[in-house]
Amino acid sequence: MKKIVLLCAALLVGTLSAGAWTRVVDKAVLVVAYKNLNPQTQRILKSYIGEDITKPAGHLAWHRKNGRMLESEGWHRLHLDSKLQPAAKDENDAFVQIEKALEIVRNSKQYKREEVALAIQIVMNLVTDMHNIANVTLESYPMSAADFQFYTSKGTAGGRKAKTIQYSWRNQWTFRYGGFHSGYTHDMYAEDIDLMFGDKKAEFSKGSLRDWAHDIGTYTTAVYELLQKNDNHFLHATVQAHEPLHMSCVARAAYRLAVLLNENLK
Amino acid sequence: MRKNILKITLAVVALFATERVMAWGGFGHTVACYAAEQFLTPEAKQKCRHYLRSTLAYQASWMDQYRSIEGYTDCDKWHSTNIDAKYKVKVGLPTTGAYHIERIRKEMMNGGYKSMPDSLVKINLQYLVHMIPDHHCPVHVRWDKSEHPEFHYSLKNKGKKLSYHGFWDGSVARWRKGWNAEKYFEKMEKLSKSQIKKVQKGDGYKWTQQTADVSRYCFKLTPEGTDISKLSKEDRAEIHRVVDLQIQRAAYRLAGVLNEIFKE
Repeated sequence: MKKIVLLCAALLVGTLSAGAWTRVVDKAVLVVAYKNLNPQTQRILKSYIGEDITKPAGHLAWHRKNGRMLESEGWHRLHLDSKLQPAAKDENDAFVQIEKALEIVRNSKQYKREEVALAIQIVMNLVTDMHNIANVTLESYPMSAADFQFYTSKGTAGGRKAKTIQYSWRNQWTFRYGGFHSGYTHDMYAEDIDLMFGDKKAEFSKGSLRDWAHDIGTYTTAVYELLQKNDNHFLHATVQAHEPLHMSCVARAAYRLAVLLNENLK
Repeated sequence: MRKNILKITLAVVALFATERVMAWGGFGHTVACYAAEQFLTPEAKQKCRHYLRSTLAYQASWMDQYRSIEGYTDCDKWHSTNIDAKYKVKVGLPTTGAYHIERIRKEMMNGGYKSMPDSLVKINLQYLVHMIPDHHCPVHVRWDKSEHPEFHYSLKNKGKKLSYHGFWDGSVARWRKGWNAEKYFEKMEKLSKSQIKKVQKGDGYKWTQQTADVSRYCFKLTPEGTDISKLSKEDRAEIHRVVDLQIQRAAYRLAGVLNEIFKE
């Protein structure tokens, strides 16, 4: 039994996620962000991270897997107070770590190249992470502080009678939507992000990192309100109805990452 | 703690397993639509993207995801079409997919889509991108059990019972670990203009009839009692040849229908 559990866990962790969403989605964010960089930023970025601009996807998780940067374990979470303002109690917070990393990127001449490269990768990872609904801790909804089980439907896609099962909230927002598009590559996903939300690029990019944290808090609050109203049920029809929200989170992450890199990587 | 890890792991595995049970599997639908999009005219591609606000591939499994949702349950039977006792497609049945492929196609052709609200054009496209590939899947022709009891049996995988339907649904991705739609398309045999014309000839009913004939051949390929873990290299290659041919037909035909609809 232990072997089966370890095998399943390894398969899921290894193939599906090493970051905010599935590997394909995380890479798609970087592809879209890169396309929205000005030529000079594109050139500088590649000089730090190399030709494969999707490589930093899940970079922090990769470090941890190799026994390095273990302190980054809690950095992917975004903590928001009741007014949806960043409210980190310590350094285990995406907003705090992004600001620290941007400081290094802005003042790159004062740091070693590898320190700047790492800071860029931290920004790339955490801007993606903070847009995953399951990574947002809301003061108004204490249940959001950690993963929990909710009720959802199983066995619906093949036209079978739906069964209600308990499922992980983290996996819902991290794996489930990406799993609907079997056979997708990150370039395919990137193309769909642009087709769906290209016309909202300016709207999503407006404001500062603080404004974006508030925006993430707004739609995350709406999701928790709905979950609570439905007595912890988020059944098949609701899951489907929220796929556009998931995609908009991915798009927001991509366009906003481009803004941060264009503004700071000079 | 160990119990919790076990519960979470099994729940994730179970959910993924069930969400992948659909015609052609999610992978087959994605590759058929991805390929079809490469065969669209620039005009048709632009129109499809305008109405869908996505690629065809993104909508590939939409109909599977929505079939059990209130408001869409009537379409649950549109994923396949009935075959009669004489192995012929039943024509004119509103409970079959072939009927709706033809209905939507006729309603949208000759500029018909222009008089439809955008939301109707969108949903019609979502139906077509799913139903046309579905009707090329060998297990998406319905053999009535009373007329064709010989076509109702299970297979085995390492000695354990395996659904015949499930095996063929997942056959495009089976034994192709790590493949994605781009790789599949790269390896897909591309047809010449005259071959395309020949493949695209016909309509939803004729294509479904061809699938029924393919379906009968598939029963010969994997007869009752077949243990798929014991299939020879040649048998596996033949299964891939058959399903790849069906995906290729589906892709060219779907593109043909959409090119025809959006022809100015």
